[in-house]
Amino acid sequence: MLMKHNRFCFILILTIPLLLASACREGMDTHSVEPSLNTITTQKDSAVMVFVPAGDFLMGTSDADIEIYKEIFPLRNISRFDNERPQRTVYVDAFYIDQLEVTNQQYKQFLTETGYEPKQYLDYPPHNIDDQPAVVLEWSDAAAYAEWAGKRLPTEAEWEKAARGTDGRIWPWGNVWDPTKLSGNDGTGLIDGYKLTAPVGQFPQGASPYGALDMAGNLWEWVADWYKEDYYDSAPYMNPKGPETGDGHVLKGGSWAENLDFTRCANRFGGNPGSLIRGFRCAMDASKQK
Amino acid sequence: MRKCLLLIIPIALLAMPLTLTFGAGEVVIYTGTTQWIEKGAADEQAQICVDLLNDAGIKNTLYESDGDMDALAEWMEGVTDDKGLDICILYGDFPPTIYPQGNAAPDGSIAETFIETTDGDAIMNHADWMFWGLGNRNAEGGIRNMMDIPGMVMWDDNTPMVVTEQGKEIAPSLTDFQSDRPFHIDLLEGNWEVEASLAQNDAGTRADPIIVRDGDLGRLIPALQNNGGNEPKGAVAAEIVIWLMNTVTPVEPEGKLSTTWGNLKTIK
Repeated sequence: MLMKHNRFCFILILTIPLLLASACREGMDTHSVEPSLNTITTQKDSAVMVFVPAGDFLMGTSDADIEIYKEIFPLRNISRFDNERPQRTVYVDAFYIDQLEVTNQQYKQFLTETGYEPKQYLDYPPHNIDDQPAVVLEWSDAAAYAEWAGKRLPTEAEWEKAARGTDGRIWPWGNVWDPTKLSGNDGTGLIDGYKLTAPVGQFPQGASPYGALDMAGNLWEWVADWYKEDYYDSAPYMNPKGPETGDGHVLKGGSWAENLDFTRCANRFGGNPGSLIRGFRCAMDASKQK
Repeated sequence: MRKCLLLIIPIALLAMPLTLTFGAGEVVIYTGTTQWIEKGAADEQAQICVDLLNDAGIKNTLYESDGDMDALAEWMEGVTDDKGLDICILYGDFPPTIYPQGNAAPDGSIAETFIETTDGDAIMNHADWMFWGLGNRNAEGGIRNMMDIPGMVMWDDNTPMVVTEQGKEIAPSLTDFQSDRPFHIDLLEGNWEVEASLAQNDAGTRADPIIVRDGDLGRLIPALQNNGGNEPKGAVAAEIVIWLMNTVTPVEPEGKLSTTWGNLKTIK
């Protein structure tokens, strides 16, 4: 009897991970967040930052992903995913990243303390409410804030790892589209509760594996890297920092005006961002915290 | 016979101003600066449009250089209220020569005056948000000021657009696609109304391409406002122009008087 019971337990132990792995492959919702978030709060801007450990992750879009995209976005031209390919394994050192996008309250504090004059910061209603994400249209205005806060903009690789973890998932919460998990576009505002941007941090159910919020939707986010369409062809495995120069800087994550396609973690936009509405969050080397 | 003539002459006199009001005009395409479409791709699409317009006998000019911004403004001023339906086609930028940047002239710009006369002039736009402007010159203010609708926006990427029956008729080259900057029909105000919706979402709240008209004044035509799409912008633009010129303005400007008199003679 005891032996029978032990055998049953053994089979159960073996089966559960297999079932979980299978569920992930079949595109079920893989939402999982690190059980206990490792966070710090930075002094200058009172921002909570979440810890992302060192190690490998899957960056970009694979051939298998393309087959899935053909079904999810049937009206999209597949060539638009070219700049996210090939998918590759990338290593990044441990780092911290802001849990939330930088808010107007934080950005205005920076402007007041430094007298910095931003080139293009939307300081008018409805964009400039304190707890709303700061709409910073120029990359240099985002980088200036990060420097003031004693931080930096995340690299594209860091941003993507913070958003999708190590398993190559499509959105921060998993592989199944769910318009209730982000400040995105449903055309009405009735699904996510917000017609435009949401105050930061309103969608804990859409958290990334490391606990970062609003990585999909709300505002496109500036990262440190220059944009080059075919950079992934030659990018290094260890801590890629983008090309030496390029066509503008990379934007990630999509915004409240987007759904599905542009809010994927692997999506990247460069060149002239035109009417994409954008903000940012900051990052910091974990070693700097020690 | 004299009685008949007495009847015909007043009819002819009445008919003349009507035909003068609705004459077909010219088309100008500007690709000097573009947004959300590479300049090379814009030039290619513009050339497709030019060829189709030439085949249809519609007078057109292609401005391919950013140095043509002044010429564009000069043309626009020259044809404003000239009793011909003139159409300007843009590829995602809104040149500051026709609308001062930063919304510096929210009313009375060359572009706004162009669409606020009764000859029905139109501005068509491809790719990015209509009137946003390069480097966020005008951002949300551009379309709002041009339409005088304070809440007008063009958000909502990836909105599936299904070609309507009217769309199939007007633009046979148009296929279903995902619009990234659709027109928000549900935000129309004042005298603005939908003249023709060529493709729209299921709810009928977003459309692209669409022709909207400000009462009996001018028109705006957001057409294939999508990011990086390879949809047939040039062909669709030409088909919309040809439809407008032939359907809305059936009388050729040069032949107006003779055609009217010719018709009268036939009646007689």
